[in-house]
Amino acid sequence: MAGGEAAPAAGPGPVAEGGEGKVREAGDARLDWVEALRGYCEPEQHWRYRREFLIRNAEASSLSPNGEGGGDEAERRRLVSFSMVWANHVFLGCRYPQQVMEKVLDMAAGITVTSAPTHTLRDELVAKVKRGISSSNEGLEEPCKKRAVGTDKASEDSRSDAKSTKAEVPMETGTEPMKNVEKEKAEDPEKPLSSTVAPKVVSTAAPTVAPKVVSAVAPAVAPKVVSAAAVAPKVVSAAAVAPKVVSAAAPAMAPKVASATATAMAPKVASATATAVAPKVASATATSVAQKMASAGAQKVAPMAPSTGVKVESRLANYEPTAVTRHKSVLASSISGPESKMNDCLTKPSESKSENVLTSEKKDSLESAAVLASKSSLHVTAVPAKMPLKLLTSEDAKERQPFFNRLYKAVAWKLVAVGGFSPTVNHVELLNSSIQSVKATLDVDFVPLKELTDLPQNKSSQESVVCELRCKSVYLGTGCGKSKENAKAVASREALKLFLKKKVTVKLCKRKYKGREVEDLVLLDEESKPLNLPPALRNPQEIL
Amino acid sequence: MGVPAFFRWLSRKYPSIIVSCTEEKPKECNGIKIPVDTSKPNPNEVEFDNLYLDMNGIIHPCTHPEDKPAPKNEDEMMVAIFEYIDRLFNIVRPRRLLYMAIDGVAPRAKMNQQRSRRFRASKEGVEATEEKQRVREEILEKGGYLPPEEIKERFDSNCITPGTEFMDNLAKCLRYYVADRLNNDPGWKNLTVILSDASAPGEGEHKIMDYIRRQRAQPNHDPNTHHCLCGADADLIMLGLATHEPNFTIIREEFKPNKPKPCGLCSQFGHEVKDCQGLPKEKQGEHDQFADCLPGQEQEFIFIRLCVLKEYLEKELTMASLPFAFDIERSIDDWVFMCFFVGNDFLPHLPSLEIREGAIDRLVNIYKNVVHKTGGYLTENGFVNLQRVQMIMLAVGEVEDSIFKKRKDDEENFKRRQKDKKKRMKREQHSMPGGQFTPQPLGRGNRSSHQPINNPRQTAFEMRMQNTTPSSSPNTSVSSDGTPGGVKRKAEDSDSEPEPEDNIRLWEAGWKQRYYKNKFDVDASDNKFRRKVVQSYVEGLCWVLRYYYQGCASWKWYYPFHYAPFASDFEAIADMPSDFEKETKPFKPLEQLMGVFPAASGNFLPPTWRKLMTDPESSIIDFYPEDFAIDLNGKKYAWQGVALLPFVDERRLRAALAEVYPDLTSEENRRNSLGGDIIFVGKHHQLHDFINELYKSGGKEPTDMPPELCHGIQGKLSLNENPVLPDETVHSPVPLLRDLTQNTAISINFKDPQFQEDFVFKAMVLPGAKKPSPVLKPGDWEKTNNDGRPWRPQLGFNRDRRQVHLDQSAFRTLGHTMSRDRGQSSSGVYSNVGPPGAYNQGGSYRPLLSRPQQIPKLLSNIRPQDSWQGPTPLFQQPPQRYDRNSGATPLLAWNRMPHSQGPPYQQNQYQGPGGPMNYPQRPSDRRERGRQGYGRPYPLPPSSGRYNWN
Repeated sequence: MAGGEAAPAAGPGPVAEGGEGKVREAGDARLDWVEALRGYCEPEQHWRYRREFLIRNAEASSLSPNGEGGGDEAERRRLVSFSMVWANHVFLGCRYPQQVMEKVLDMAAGITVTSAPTHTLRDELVAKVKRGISSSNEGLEEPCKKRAVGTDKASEDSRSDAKSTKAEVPMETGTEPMKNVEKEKAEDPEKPLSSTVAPKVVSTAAPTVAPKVVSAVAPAVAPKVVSAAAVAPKVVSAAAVAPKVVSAAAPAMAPKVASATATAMAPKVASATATAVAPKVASATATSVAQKMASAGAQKVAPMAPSTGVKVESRLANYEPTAVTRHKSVLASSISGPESKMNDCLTKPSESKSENVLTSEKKDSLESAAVLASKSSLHVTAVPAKMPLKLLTSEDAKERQPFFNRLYKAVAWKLVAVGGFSPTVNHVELLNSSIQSVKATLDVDFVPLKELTDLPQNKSSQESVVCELRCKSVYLGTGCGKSKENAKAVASREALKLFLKKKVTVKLCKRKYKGREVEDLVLLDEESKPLNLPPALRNPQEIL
Repeated sequence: MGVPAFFRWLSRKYPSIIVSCTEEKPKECNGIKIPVDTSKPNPNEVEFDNLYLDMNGIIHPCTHPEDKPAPKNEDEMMVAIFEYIDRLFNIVRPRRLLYMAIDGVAPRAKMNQQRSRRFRASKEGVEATEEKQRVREEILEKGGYLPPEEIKERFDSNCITPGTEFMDNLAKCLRYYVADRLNNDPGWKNLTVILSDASAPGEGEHKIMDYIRRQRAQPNHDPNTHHCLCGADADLIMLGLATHEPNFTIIREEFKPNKPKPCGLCSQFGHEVKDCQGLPKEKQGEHDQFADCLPGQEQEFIFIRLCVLKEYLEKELTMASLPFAFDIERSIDDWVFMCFFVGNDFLPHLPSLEIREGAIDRLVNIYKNVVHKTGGYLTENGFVNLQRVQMIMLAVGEVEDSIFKKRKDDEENFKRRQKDKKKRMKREQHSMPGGQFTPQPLGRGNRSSHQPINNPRQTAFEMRMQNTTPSSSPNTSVSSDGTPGGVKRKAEDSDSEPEPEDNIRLWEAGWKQRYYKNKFDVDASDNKFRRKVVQSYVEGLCWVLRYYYQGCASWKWYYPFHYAPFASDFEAIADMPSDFEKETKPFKPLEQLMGVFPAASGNFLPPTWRKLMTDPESSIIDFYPEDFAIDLNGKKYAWQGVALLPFVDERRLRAALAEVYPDLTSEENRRNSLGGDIIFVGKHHQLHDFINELYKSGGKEPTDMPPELCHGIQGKLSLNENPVLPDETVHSPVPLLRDLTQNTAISINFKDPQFQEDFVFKAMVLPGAKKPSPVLKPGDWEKTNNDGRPWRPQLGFNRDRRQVHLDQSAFRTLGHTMSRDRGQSSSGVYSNVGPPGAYNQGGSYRPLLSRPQQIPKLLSNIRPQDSWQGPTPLFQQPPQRYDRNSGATPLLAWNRMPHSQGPPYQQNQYQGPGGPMNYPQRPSDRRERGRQGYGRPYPLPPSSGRYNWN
């Protein structure tokens, strides 16, 4: 990328405006027009990628290199505009209208950006506030705006300094990770393989798709992926990828894409796809393809595809085509990532919705730690046995109410026996025994804290575990701690707190799950506001 | 200014700059409101010449008020604006000029900030509407009652931008308003009114500055003009200082924190939309008579006296033994420049300089230390000496590290204290303070309760400690599992607040790398890029300073990054060029709208233009993201964060607009053109006939205005196409208000005096200017006042102002309620307690004793109704500050009178101290005077410890 090196060293005079400077530089004459488009304040890296974008698409649309002709002028202007859309999206975190995003990501097919920054979108931030993560203003004297929009939450996605993921870029098609892989500079011997595979897939995918191209995959992805791939080929090793991974799939993926990809990947997958609900599977498969691709093993792609495909498919089979706004998470944890994007995704027609959801979810799965890889393998087997999914309704809530009334009494008596609720009581044991006494079981769920950026935490506690307690599919409480027992203790305590008031109610409330609002059955006491619930660790819908 | 909390810091550090406004309210008699006669002298005991209104500070609160329900339609808004201006006029009462400046197209540097605000406002508006809708449905479901939903469009405050129809209407309404007042209000009789509406480019406050600057530069200007500028921006203070006019005052609304806001759905106080339940309003008073007038709710105004601020700054900035001559005006310019570092509207502020951490003080200290080495001042007439600035910056850079660390420490301490406080609150809910804080029953002659509290801070601290220790043990002992390291504290403390994520961690080593990586996405080793950032920032500083002192240097320049560099990066800046492109032109209004509005506010633009904001094939679609990232950048609230919006490329914008320009209707074209100022005068004004003649002669050439007709104002007049002319009806754009059928006012275009391109406006005090008398206590007061007279601070504009006093009717009322016959005995709980003896510092107020001759004269002249006559120094009427101890009665009028008046007063002489009634009365009112015991030497209060303040 020699062109990019020559910085627009023109003095501040012509660029005193601070806008894009038309700086001429002695480069390849053919590419002169491109160099002229570099922004004065565009960092090297950004320019490199944007330049790539410009060149590719100029070639693609056969713009004359000298930019002559009136019609060309308009073309060129649009091209520049799209390049800026893409760059703003990748580097600044902006989101544009649907169509624009699609087009631009399409045009950016084949460009991988490593280490693009993460940002919190404004809608994101506001949604977080609404969930009431932090209510107190700690005595700040600043008058708040009309809405208490701000909270203590800062940009939630900045996981680590050095590396970052493009969190908000909508999920791409499965093709994208492949491209990512292709671009990665990892010295992985398997890379070449993947790269050979990738183009093939790209070519098949590209024509049939109107996808968006993903952007960022951190360099760290590669090694992890590789290692994961080496470890457990079958596993959705994508899951093993460190938390910098590709972003979510495009909202409105055409079903065809997925299927096209799938077919390219492995016949088995394709068939699996074909059998399952076609549109959804497509996307799911696409994502699963993505996962596999990301695992950097080209040869592993094929075998993995089927497994994931199967997983996906069976999962899909459980979906009802229309009203699905939720999705099951393949893996137990949700990743922060494109939460807002997912919100976005969810507003699309149901089909694509579920697709997106799945894909994003898959992408999420990409981001989860290795721990989850094992989980996912478990899930893979467990999945086929899942029951058909149904929406949680208030009838479910009513059904469970009597049970919880009984549980309330049981807990109350137990508390009396130990002399009242206090921090010194063994909460785990108490809760457990109460539940057993009413002939039910306590469902416990653990997730490493890292995946759960919904939950506001002190980020330095990266290694802790989060635990969620449910009983009869009703959410009781969440807790986190250094170890599983610890987390469970905290969660039990939180759950027990619910029983301290006069009564408990089962309600259908919205909880945050992977950045979206999901309906869940929740146990509430008289006072707790349904707005302040901690985020869900697993998709509530799948727990029934 | 982009510096929040600047004004608060300033007013805390220099408190005497603030003077409360005295406002004369309209009286109501038999149900009819009698308007105030503003031609009378100003009750604030100062006469202002010019009043400048930054209209946007008025338009926003009138159109979308925070503390009141919003006006229902545009007409109501206009009427609200008129009333507000009337109110200001009543307080200030300018005698020569009223200048109303509405924001026009701003320089590009400001447009970025405007863009960010509008994008955010648009989103917030949508969310608010949605929430209201949702809550409304909820409430209705539950059976609550809400006022029927008015199908009114939510007022999009984004329409308060030049180029919109709203602003056009506003200009028409203001023209009507001015004509109306010129015709009808006696206070406007000799007033010159200049209206600079949204078609004239430039921000409101800078148009005002431009005007003042240009008038100063022409020879007919009166250097002692008393200016009054209305606006809430803190940078008006900077602007005022930059003019170097000796009499400059700012008027603004007093900011009252935590004012209650009415709920958006039911317009009641006490809750927000999300908590609204549709309950009926509670009655205030038996018949709800207190409903609308919560006491103290009305907005109060305050004056900020810049001459006092200058006095303060003179004290602070005076430096001895300089290698060059000390000039306070140049020092003030440097101070203004340094204030820009902590924030302004055009540049993000440096991360290490936070006003709350005393950044300005730090800079001033560095300045005073470094100025010996710099060899001169930092700025001159608004031009920056980069070499010297570099020295200051590098000095700041050296301490940047420690600033960040200290910031972190302070935060931690604060959080810790908050936590402790919360815990304490929880525990202490039912505990009474003990020991010396025990509440005592009042009265009962309980002598011991008068003891002042002994060492309160220590006792309070001890109380806190003793409360925390017993209860801290349960927290620490919990460890439900035996894991090493124990349970994380945070996990069990269910009240712990989540921390904002901070990737930069400025207090840890490597902060520079992380900052550059995170914010700019470059390696800290990329020096070229850093140089670019620093260079742009330096350009920015130069631009901002020039903007304040000389006017806009370049309409196109802007700072192309979202973040500032560090102070320690300001190396080798001396050679950086700081010139700007010449002959730049501002954007046209509609172009500016395209550059500032989000797609959601596209309805303010013509349809083909609007399309460019949303059409995927548009060549500028990248300027209009639907959602954008917000970087809290260490702050708490989203609105404080940095909105990462892409910058608009002017060239591409123009290229795209070139295609749709032909689609503009003639009306839109008119709105899109740049206009100028209009001057209005009434029929009594000296300029009236001159202007009339101009219209009659119909010349097209601009004519010079004769300055002698207009208090020294100079400019060029040219005919207006749509003027207000005498004997022509002025139609009212507001249906509520009537047309002016007998108009005598006249209007004409006005243009400020023009100077050559390279003219430099001098930042100095003009010859002939008289410095106003000092207000602050002189540093050597104690030494030069050997009689130990206490310093009496000046409370208003007039050192010798009348003190608070009661009216005749008030004394009569009090007399009815309080018993006459008290004598010397103490009957009643408080009779032994003297008045709040603030002045009981010993020593009688001697000066009056030396001026007995004043008294007869004043007695004869002064009558109640003449009390407002100009600033004649009314003699002091101090309340009983004197003589508690000495027993000598000063010879004051009211003191003497009783002796010579005869029996009615004799009896009253022996009235008891009459505790609260120690207000001096107007001397002219002889009859009632004797009733009060003022002037009587009070019996010494019992020697309870409380009053031994000496």
